Amino acid sequence: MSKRIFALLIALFVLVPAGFALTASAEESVNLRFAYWGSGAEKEGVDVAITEFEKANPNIKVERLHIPDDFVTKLNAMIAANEAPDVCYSGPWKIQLGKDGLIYNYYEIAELDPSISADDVADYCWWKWSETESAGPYQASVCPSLMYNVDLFNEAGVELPPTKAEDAWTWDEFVEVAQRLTFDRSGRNALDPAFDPEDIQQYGIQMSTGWNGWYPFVLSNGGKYLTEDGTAFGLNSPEATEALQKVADLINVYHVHPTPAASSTLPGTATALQTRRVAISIQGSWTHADLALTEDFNWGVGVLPIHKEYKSFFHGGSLVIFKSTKSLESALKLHNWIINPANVIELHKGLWVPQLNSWYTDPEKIALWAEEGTPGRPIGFQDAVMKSTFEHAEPSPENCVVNFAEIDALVWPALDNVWNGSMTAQEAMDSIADPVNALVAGWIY
Amino acid sequence: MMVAGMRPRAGKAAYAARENLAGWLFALPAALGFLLFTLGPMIASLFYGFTDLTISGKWNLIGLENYARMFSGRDNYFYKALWVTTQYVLMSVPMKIVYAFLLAMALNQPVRGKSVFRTIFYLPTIVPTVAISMIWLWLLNPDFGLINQMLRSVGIKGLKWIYDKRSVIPSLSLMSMWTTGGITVVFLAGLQDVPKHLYEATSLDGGGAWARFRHVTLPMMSPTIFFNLCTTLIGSFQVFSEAYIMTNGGPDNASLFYVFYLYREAFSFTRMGSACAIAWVLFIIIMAVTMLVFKTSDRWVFYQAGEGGKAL
Amino acid sequence: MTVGKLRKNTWMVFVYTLLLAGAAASLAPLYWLVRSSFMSLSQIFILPPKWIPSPFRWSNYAKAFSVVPFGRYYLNTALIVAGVVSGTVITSSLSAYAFARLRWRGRNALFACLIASMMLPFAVTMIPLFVGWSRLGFANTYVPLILPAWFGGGAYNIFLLRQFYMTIPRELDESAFVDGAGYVTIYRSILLPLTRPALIVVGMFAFMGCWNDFLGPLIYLSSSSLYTVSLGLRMFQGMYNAEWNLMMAASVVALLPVIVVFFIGQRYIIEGITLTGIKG
Repeated sequence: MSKRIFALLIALFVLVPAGFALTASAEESVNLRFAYWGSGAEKEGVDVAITEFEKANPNIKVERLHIPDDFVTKLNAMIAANEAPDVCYSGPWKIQLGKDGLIYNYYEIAELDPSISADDVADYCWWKWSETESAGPYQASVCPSLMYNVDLFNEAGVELPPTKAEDAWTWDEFVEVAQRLTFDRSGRNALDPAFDPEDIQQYGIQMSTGWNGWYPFVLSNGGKYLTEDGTAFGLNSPEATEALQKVADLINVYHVHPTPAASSTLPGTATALQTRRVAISIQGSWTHADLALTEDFNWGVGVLPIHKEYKSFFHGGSLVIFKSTKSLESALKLHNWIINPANVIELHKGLWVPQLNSWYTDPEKIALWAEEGTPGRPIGFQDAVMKSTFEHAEPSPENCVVNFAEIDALVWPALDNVWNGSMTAQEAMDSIADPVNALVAGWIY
Repeated sequence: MMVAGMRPRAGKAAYAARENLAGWLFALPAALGFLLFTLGPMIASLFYGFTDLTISGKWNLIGLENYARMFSGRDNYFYKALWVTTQYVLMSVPMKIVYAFLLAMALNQPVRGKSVFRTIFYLPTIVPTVAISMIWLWLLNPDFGLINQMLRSVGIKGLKWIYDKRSVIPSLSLMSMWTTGGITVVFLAGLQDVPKHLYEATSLDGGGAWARFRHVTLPMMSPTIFFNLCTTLIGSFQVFSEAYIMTNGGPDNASLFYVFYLYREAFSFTRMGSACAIAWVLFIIIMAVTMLVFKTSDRWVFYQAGEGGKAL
Repeated sequence: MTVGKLRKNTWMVFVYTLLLAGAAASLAPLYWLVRSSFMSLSQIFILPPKWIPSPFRWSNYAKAFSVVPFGRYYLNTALIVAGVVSGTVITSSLSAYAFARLRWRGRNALFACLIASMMLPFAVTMIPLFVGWSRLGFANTYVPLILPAWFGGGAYNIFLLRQFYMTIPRELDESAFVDGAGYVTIYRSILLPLTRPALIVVGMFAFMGCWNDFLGPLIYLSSSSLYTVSLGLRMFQGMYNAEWNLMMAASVVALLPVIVVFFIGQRYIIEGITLTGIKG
């Protein structure tokens, strides 16, 4: 048998099947189903990224399932029907999917596609259900951000918020600014003795009352979600409840923040700022995308107020890959395509911020997404949002508290009582300590 | 009752067999439907209730664990949901029945535009629940809602409605009165069926309006009241969309309705087995309450002689 | 004026006051919905509120239609409605005929079961039905939404039609029977034509129930191209949750077909309810 024929046979018996196995995609077309949420700009940005992905991988077709609402219900229905998508957006419930064995452990499959270096992903970006098992890193990050209407500051003669973490307002300074920016319908501000808190036209501050709104202040005051050793609930510690109480006091003592009922009537954050209902908003950084779309509106960003030291965090969802996928390799390719900021760069100019370290340190990459003076990145952005968060980031409780979703389901109803003033933060957190402690199962980093 | 004229050549037995077969054939869809879509799933759900079935489809038999978890209070929401739903039932059912009865009584007077009023009262019941919840979310808004506006215009300080845990259930009960038109129409029909001579007899005996109401209307209407009471009770225990769309169960779980809690268990926490057990507890509660109403009905439901069937 | 007449007049004033108040309470929320749907966001927030929008903003409706493909969702919903209505009318009338007119073994037991099933919360069967349909591969199709209607169309409808059939004099089918007509002929040429209004009622109920159904499509349909109007409305809420004027416009869009059908068939509907409520 000549060498040539022998080589040919080897090629036939080994390489061809191997080739089929490895690059089935190269020959056959692969259909992937990708489920995601998000409205307007996000859908558009993701759609563009997917179209680019299809161009780069002509053999892969991606069916887009855009589910803006009731995502979990829908996804659960699809899973039960054996119709799970190949890749999808996911919230904290992905941990359960991981435990149930429905999705891939990203640590095990990461090597199949080297386009994303796991080393470049910040440590706290991993969604894990055990030390060695992860659903994957954030697809992108978001962080708490302080945004404001510049005109309202100027009109009230209040100095603009600081943009450097070292200059951050103390809480008292912050409350005073908020008071000077809160007006009743007769035009009196909240410091005026005749101020009518029943009839407020413009609120000084509005923030998210979910954990992503108040947790930076708990951290800043030295509190944590669980105790240091991870054996018990931490939000009932004096440091944590003090910070929570101060948020509630904005509503019920100083009347500079809308009550939960009043909040429900306010338009979305960007519109509320633009229509002068609210002077300062502390909300997720995704709001920058909405603000970028407003016309003739002068807005700015500042650093968060602090109690003791500057603390913040990134958080974010991740994409999960279902084990039911017929082409793991293609699914992983799509996953890594979307989580690479370069491929969804438009979304990183407002909606998202990157989750890869090099995008915060490499000036060329920074210029791609954080150039100041662009519609979604006002002057001061790099200090006030990018650096302040990157340099003072703690892990998000969503990622590092085991059973976070179930614990949070106890925390937020209890906090309802704090926001409406019927309980102190200490009382509310103590009242749920027992059921929470029954769910506490440590930190996971 | 025997059919009078039978075909001469068919014997009695043959005729009965034929009718038996025809009966089954005509009722076949309903019979199959009952087996496939009611009885079968009921048994399956009873079975799942003893397992830890999750969304992945894997399950283990765990005996009474799901029930034990509920009743022992280890499930943080079961008693809360039960209490919230009970409050809602106790509040909304009497409100709906009394309001509907009042409107029907008024409609039964010699008034002009009776059918226009009837249509207007019925109209809200056809609005999709998603839209109803939307409308009321806005009407009950403490700052901009129509209701607080109207209260303020007459000098009353408005409530926080669904944003206060003390008023959320009364608010939702109030809202449920809006869709009471179906009951009104049924009451009206019942009132129109009350024989006129009974009223005349009472008047002749010297009875006034109250006596006519107490001794004629109420007893004659008792089967209708009974029917409406049963259907409204059954419906109220299953209230869902209000919590799902308007309050998300809040504030502080004060509107965590039972079916909302069940839905969350099944589709957010993906504990299907546990959700089935929760559903069965609801079924048993509804059965028990309905039975209770049936049992007491002997004492207050009056059936006309000759029409002595049960309302249900 | 006699005392009696005076008393009667006071009474009628009271009655009219009650009726007018009730009518206002029924209509005001609907009016508020329509009014808000024509306003800009800032107009909605004006205090004290305006009763009439000025100017009328038709663009809210254009926006509602451009964001959510309501046209498509109308068609989808119409398709489901057509399947459900025809299935319900046909099979519930067949079954009702058997329960009202024929004697067969097990009739009373089955009827009792059906009546009892009206007490069963949807939640009990929801999960097994969902799992069952999914395993059969019918999730994300209209089959689980339509097919059950072809199996009796629900206990309530059977019950309602049975009540109607019992009001038709038996002598009619008996004489037809003597003339040699079979059961099918009696059903088709006597009962069906005579109970046309009742069938319309059942059809209307099926239409409205199906058009307004939220939980069913929510659970079974996952592709947004298959969504129904209710889901579209919900989706719209998810995307514009603070833009009340747009949400109101979308609600009106979702509501309109039901209102139209209601006004066409309201006479029958109210007669239908009347019948189930009273006799039996």
